[in-house]
Amino acid sequence: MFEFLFNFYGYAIFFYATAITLIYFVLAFMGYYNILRNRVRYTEREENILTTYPETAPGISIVAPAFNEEVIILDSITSLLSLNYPTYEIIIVNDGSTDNTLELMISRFELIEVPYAYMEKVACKPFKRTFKSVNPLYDKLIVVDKVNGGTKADAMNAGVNVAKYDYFINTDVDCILSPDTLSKVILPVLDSDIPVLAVGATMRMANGCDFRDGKITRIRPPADFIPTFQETEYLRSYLVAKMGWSAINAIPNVSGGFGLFEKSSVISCGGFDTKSHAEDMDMTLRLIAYKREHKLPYKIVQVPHSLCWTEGPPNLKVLMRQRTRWGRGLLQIFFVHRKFLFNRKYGRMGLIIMPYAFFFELMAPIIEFSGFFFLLFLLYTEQINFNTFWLMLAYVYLIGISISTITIVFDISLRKLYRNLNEYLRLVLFSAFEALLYHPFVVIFTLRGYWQYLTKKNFKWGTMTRQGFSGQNGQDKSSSKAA
Amino acid sequence: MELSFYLQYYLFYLQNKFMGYPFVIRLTVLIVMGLIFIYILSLIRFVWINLNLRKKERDFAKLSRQVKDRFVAMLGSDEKYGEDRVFQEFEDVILRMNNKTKIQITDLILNTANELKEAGKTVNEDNYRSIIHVLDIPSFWETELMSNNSKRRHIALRKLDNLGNGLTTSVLMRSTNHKNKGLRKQARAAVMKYDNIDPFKFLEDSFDTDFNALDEIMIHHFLVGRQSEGPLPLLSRWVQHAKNHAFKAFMIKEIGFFNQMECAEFLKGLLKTEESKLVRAAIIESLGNLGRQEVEHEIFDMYGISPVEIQTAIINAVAKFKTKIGLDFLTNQFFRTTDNEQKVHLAYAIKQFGEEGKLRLTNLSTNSNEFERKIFDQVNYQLG
Repeated sequence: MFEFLFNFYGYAIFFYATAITLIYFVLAFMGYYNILRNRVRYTEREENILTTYPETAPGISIVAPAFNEEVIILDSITSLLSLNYPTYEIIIVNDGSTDNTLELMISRFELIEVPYAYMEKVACKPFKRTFKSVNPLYDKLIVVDKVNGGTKADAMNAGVNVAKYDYFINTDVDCILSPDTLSKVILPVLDSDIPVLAVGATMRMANGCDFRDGKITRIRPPADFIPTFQETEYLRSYLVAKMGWSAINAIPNVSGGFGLFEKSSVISCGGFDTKSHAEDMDMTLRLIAYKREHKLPYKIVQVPHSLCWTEGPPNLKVLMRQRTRWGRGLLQIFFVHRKFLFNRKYGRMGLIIMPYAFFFELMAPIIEFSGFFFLLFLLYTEQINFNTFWLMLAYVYLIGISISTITIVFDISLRKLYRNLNEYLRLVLFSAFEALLYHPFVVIFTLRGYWQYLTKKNFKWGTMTRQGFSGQNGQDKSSSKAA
Repeated sequence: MELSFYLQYYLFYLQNKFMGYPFVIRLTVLIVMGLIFIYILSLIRFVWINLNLRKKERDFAKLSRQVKDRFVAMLGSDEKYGEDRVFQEFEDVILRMNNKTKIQITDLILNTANELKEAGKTVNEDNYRSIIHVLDIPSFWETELMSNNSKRRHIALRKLDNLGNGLTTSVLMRSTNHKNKGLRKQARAAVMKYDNIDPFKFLEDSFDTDFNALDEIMIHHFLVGRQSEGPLPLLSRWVQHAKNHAFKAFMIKEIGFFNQMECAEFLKGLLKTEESKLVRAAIIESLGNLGRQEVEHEIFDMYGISPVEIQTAIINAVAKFKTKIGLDFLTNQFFRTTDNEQKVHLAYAIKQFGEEGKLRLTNLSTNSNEFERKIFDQVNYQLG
């Protein structure tokens, strides 16, 4: 009986890994095709035409919640104010900060409290007041002050209530956007004959980059270990997985760090779920479900360009908080939205997106962790056939590094962002050690998130030590993030 | 003979050994070999792309060092250089020019012209044209536009439009029915600017079967370009026969944008018969832009039974007419509507009536509830 179980487990793991390999290579193929298509279709010329005729450019609201972000808030707003797009507004939602976030904004951007007829289209904690600048240079900026809701989703909802344009961007104040972000994300919306619900773009690590006045002056790979691993991990997720899924309109998640959403659909779905630990994936799934239930056509698009730079976890402690929260969020998604799984009514979401996320995202850490103990057991009981052991190990190892290298090639063929070959080689080199030095931690922290969710421990919205974008490293200013 | 025998021997040996393994192991060996192949191929491609990019950057920098100063001098000069003089100036470059150089020269000259414009300087258009002709740039891109590769055609079309030197329509026509949607639509839009025989032929059939918002922007861009050379024909001609509602609404909006007063009567007639709410909203918006106040009563009657999109268009149009009855209408609607967003919109429209509107808002605030007063405060603050 035991032998049968062992054999079954061994074969199951083998075919599981083979399925992942196959899926990833299919996604890489579709992703590459999608990248090429995007590159030919939208160029700087289309963006220039859009900005030359402001009357044709649809307005976009940028919503960025801020909770105790005094270290980076000024740089972040300065960066957002310098975007190259004719019609947009920046809505900073001060989610009841207890530090000097609000005071700093008021003094730097010459803000005064202004009358505002607030309408609650989606639920959130009470709105207090709005601020606008008396200086015309900052007339795109609106600061919304509200009672702390404890989650990013709650603050986002307040921003959505204030947003005046049909499309809004969901981002964080620790994100720096590329100057051409808005035209790059709105082009696929305009170039579609069916409604586009959301647009995602590639996010990268800001840790190694140089900044001046809230703008990136030099893009580099991160200098620290963890953000370097995460840079490749992000590229893999955006350029291979999401670009691939985008080719068949099956993107499972528009990232919470950066994503463009159609406001009316978000409002129709009731806004962001304040109880969700993965409000981005939850929102994406609910948007798709809404459209499927009402038999309305929709599209979710991913653009390959790197448009958003965010601070990555500088150490294991912060990585643990981040991945534990992601783990909790992922498990919660399957509890809350279990009815979508294998449900034909929800089309690709029910038959492709959810089963994929279930088997290859939710189950993966469990399988990897149990696989490790299974291996230890086999070693202990001397049941390992070393003739084939190394072959299997090479197989698993090669899946990771070949996909990572393909991703780096995609990135460089799209646009060379780093200045020299050595900087790219750093990513290639790190990807060779990812399976040993980074991935095991991600597995453990994700399982910790599952455990926390199942045992219903009190969840804290993790703190993130901010270093700021103006070279303020070492000031030891920390702040906690709403989400 | 001996070597071939040994090779064959070991090949059979390996084959037999391989076939002797269980299926799973055989499959793994194949996958591992495939993965190693992909990994090595990716590494080679990674190095190749890097080297190629570095070479391109180096070549571009070298060319830039050679010709940039001459471009700046000629484009920034008031003096008119003839083609002969330009030829003499660039003889060294012309002698060793190939297709790659022509691509780089195109970018370089466009960048230089843009930099001069951004610096507030005037670009000498005569010299600009002389340079691109002497360096054979337009004809190079026209040849590219005849290529069988749709990507190359797409790039060529963009470059030719950026160069702003016009292009031979017969070359362009090859792409107007191409199966590649993006290329086809771009070529059709470009015909409007460059064709001198029948530039608007594609507007007859609602431009393209896949007409979308990006096409609107492209058509707008080329119509603006065409208008700078002379008046546009009446756009109502293409509204009449259009079957695609989005295209029809767009053309109607363009009538308002280009202020084609002669089309106003046609739009008024169409407002009575048109059923699409998208088109009706566009008609009302355009009549507002054209300042045709005589339709006010008609659109007032329409307001109560229309969907939000049309109501919004009516509010915008009335705010542009700025008549006394229009102000009364907006005021009545402000108290009648239960839609708070529309209330805000109406308040902004009332404020656009200047002093009279401001006075009206002040009077209204005495009989309003707290939320309405907030709206008035917001509008007064934001519009001054």
